[in-house]
Amino acid sequence: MDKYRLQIMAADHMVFDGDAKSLSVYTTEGSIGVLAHHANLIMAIVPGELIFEPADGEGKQSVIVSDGLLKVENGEAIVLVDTAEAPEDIDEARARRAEEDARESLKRANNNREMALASAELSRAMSRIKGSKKKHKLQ
Amino acid sequence: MASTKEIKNRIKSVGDTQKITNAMYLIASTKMRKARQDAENTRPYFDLLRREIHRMFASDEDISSRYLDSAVDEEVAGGRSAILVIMGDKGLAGAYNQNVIKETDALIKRSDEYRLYVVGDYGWRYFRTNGYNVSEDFEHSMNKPSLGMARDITREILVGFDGGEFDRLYVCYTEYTGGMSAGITMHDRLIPFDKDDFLPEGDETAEYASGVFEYEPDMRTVLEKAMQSYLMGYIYSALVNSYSSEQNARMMAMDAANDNASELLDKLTLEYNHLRQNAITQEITEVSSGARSLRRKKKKSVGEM
Repeated sequence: MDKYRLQIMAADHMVFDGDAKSLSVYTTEGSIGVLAHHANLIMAIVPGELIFEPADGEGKQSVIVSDGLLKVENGEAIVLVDTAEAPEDIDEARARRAEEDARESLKRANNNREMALASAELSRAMSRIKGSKKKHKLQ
Repeated sequence: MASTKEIKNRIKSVGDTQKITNAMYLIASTKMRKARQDAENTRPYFDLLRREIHRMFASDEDISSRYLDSAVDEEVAGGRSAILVIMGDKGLAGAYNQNVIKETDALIKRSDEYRLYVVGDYGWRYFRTNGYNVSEDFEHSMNKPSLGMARDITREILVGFDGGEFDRLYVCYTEYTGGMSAGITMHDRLIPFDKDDFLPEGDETAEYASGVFEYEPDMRTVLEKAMQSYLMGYIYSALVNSYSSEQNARMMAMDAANDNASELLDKLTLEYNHLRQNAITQEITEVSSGARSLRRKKKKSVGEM
């Protein structure tokens, strides 16, 4: 399989910088996969799991990302996300508490403003829980 | 004149205070270094983000967004403003907090309507007790600026902006200038952005390989997401700058306090030694004069016999 240059950057650290074979990530339009020689594009990433396969043959890796941007230009891909966490770094208990809190405040929300805040909080919490569950299955 | 015991107590208490101010000085300098390092780590990300946003402008001159308005004239006062005020949790930092309050007051005067989003407990208390229009459910203390905190702040403020509660967002913070300076208190307009805000630093004529890009779902959505992230980055850097300035101001205040304490200690020690010497001299005088009068008495009684 052909490889291409991939950079995954979270706001406070570099997640990956090197050659990769494939990348799959959730965008506003659903899940999208990027292989070598992909057409130029810029897309908005939504919170969820990002999976990529480095070209060094170490197998697929997964990170849980939040909102961000995916850009493919001349065969090189850049992912810019606000946060990226490895599934094993996510404290499932904490993520669950965050989910419960978000659901609670969604119920109590008495205007659009609180509603929007709570639902954003909820989608982030749910994607983190999903990511950490998956890890447990693998083990 | 104070007794030697009183002065001794005073010396001890000044010495204790000096120990505290010295510790606060050290703590402030460690905290500042750490925060600056964290901020440095986020630089590449936000530089890249800014580049991508600028590229989108380059590829479509007519792009419009609710976050974007290059025509806002800052000279014309008025409008409904929201002001994000970044202050400290505590005092003991020289004029740091007062400068931010002054800057905020000036900004409020230029708006028809305003609302404050206050970060930092000290500011929160001040603005509330003085009857300002403070956003009540916005509570953030200035413990240690983090990306998570910047994200929460951005989200809360954007909900207000998207809901049409205000037209402009300003941030009032203190730019860190390094060295032994207290930083510059200033304000910036965050929303709406000006296209020029995104000019890459250094190379203003940045050329992009003008490949055709496919935008999904559309350019505006992508751009707005990117601008929200960028806003978060801006707020984060304002937080870190303010935090560093606050710690720096505290370091300077504590340094001055240390110097004052040393000076005071010198003076008190001198005074103490004077007093002690006086007391000794007096005692000797008393003893010797007592002895002399005793001798005289003795002589007298011998002569009478």
